[in-house]
Amino acid sequence: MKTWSRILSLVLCVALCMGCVSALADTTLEPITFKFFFGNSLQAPAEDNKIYKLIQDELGVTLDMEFLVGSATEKLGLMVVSGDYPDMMDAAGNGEYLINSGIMMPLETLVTPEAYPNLYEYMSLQWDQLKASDGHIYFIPNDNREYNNEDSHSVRFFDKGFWLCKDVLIKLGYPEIPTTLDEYFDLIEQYMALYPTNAYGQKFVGFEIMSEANNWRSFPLREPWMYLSGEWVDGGYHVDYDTFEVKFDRTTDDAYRYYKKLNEEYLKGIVDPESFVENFSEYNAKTATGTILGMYDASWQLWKLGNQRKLGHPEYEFIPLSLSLDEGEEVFFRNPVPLRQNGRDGMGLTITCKDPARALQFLDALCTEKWQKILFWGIEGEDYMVDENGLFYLTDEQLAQRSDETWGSSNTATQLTSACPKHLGFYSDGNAYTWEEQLSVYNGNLAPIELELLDHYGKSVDHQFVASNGYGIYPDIYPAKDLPLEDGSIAKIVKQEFWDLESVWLPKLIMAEEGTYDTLWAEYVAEYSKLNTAALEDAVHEALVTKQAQLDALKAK
Amino acid sequence: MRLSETIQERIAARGSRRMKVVWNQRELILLTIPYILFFVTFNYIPLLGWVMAFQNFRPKATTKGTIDLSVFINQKWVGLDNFKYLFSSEQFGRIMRNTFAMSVMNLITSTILSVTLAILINEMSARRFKKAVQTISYLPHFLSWIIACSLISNMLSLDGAINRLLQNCGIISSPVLWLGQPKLFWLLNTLIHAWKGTGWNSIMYLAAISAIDPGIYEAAQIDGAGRWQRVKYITLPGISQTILMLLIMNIGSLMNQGFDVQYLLGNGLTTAYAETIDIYVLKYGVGIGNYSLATATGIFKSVLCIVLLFSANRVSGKLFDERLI
Repeated sequence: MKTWSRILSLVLCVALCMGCVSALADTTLEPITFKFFFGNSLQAPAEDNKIYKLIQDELGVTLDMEFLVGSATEKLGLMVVSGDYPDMMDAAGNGEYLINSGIMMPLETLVTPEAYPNLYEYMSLQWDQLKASDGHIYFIPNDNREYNNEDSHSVRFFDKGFWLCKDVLIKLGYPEIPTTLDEYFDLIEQYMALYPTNAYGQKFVGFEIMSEANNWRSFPLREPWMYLSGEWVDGGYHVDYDTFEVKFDRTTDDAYRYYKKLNEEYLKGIVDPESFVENFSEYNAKTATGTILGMYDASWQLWKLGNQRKLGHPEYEFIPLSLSLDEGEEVFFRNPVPLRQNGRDGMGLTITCKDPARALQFLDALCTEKWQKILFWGIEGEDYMVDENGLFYLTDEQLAQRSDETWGSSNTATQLTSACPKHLGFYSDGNAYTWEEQLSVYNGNLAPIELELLDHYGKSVDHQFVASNGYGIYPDIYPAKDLPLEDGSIAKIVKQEFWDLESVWLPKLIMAEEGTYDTLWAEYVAEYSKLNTAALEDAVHEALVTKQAQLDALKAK
Repeated sequence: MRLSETIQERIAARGSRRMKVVWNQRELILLTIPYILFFVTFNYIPLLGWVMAFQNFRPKATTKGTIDLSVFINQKWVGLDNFKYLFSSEQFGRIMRNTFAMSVMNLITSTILSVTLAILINEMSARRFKKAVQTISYLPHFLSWIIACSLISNMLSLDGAINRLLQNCGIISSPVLWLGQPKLFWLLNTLIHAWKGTGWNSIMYLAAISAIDPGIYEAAQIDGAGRWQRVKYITLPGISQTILMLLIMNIGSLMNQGFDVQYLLGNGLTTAYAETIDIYVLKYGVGIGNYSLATATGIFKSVLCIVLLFSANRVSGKLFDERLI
């Protein structure tokens, strides 16, 4: 027995020493865990996620992720008062609130070109625009600049537009692409008369409107006339950008004409009455069933598109269109505003971050091309292949894997990429920054019938159906509707009030009985004029003046 | 044990009657202390947050990760402004009407239906069938409101089950948008609550019925009372105390029944009849960061609940000689 215990103790000693040796070998990057709070309700990654493991192994950083559950204002209010802050968090639309509460760490002195060259290069293009009203930079934006992409062209469509089911164009023999609202509805009416049911035997619905009353996503009910009108889209604020005079009016003639047209279509049975009683998830599910022929929406809200293609009916997918109310009017659909910073979007470090230098080093590493390729393309050989010209491509299995959510949970880092800096545009080797933007992959995903459609109209990619405007036509301070208003102020209350008013009246107007539209419109305008829009106009005017002064001061430096 | 002997002697010698009672019941009192602590910590201490209603509350960051209660004091005080805003908003009349109407309808319907169901289940003789009915009837209670409302929204859609049934029976000629009819919303709300809650609420009444002495039933049978007469003269009076008690308790929660169904099934078309005080607070209070308004509304609701509860208690005491408190 004595010999056995001696051998056992010897083995244990050796094991201990080996542990020491391996620890000694890795002193350069000690492991550190950062607590990251995401302001969106994303899915947590799987335990064995290979990308996060790679980050752990090579950068030594483990991310302890927490996702929003429930109401953001409640959660953030609680977080601020409790004193229990994560190390990093993203703004997710509540940037103004977070800055005012004082929990974000100012970064402009910390991020220098010597210490963090990649991060500085990423942020420096719009350095002044990243500053909040007190002159500090609190947030590192998710998409600040394009690399190697002078004309900012992209393959995917990230904007709002009128969507038309491809089958309408295919079955009607490739008619001219509609440019006015009337032409658009004409095509839908013709198609519905010929084909009342789809391939599954379900009845078609001509036009669907997302109108869930208490959901900010219901802009398809409230906004389209702003785009059709040929004016700059600004949420109903008519701003003179020289004098900053603001007139708030959402009951213009264009709105009258648009809702009147919808009313006519409703009475003809084209507009779906269910639009007004659905909530967002029901609406989203409906877009994937192949029963809708047309809607107005933003591509980033139509999460389920691509479903019909998977089910073998690619003709029920949609193309985006830009329309106008009158023939030949110029419209402003492809809005290049997303890259314009306002200092309130992106991710940042909190004042209780345990190691800001390390955190910034981590972000700096993420800004390199190597890590961006890992985050957006994956591991070479496993997730994508390289052809003889150096262009990345996906094999059929790899492409199929991408739409599998379980695979994605273990092999992609979509949570991190929703907040971290993105190398938009192209890498130095000519590949797009993500596989979704690589034209060859994107078009490779389309069915032959869809490629035929593109060919017929001489387009190389879907979004070319939408009229695109030259960049740089908007002043720096545009849009006025995104300027922050004080929490709990009268202006904010008026905003909520007109939102409520529209939730009640717009469905009523669209569903108005024959001949009653005009009287109802007059009532609606009367109700609208009871609101204290002057307070709102004043508040926005103040915000414009302040912001412009801020921008001027920063330019003068 | 020596300490307790000493205390016992002292109390026996010089203690008042009250002290003697407390000493005799010391174990029971010790058992209730955890519950008292729980209630005080989670129900009474948070009432200190009511100060938010009298301020223009803006959350501020605390120093390096600690909870700082002075955040509740270093705010702008506005007195009763938030209450004035609440009472003078033009939606106030409408939302109070909606809240009360739906709650009262719910209360009356649920009481009547639950009692009826309890009596009917009690009168059943087949044991297995009785158990089956009981289980099936209280299963909907366990569904969350989101699931229940999704099911209902699906059934009431234009090509859903209800429309198809009614069309096939010839009652309506084309599908009706049920969720878009404002005047029907109160009825819909009542029906949904009835479907979900009747089975569960009937359990209380069943328990009360089973507490009635079976001897009385036999005596009545011998005297020649029929089924219906037995229910009318024995069962109902027997559980009248329970009915009254539960009614008073539910009146206390009259103002709290207005969120789930209204939020999930309400829409732009039915707002005039579906918006309750909870939805109003969500939109104009918490939704735009106006915590002060939300707190003020909470205080108003609590005060109203207390007033209603005590009034109902008093009325019940005067009319039926039954008091809860």
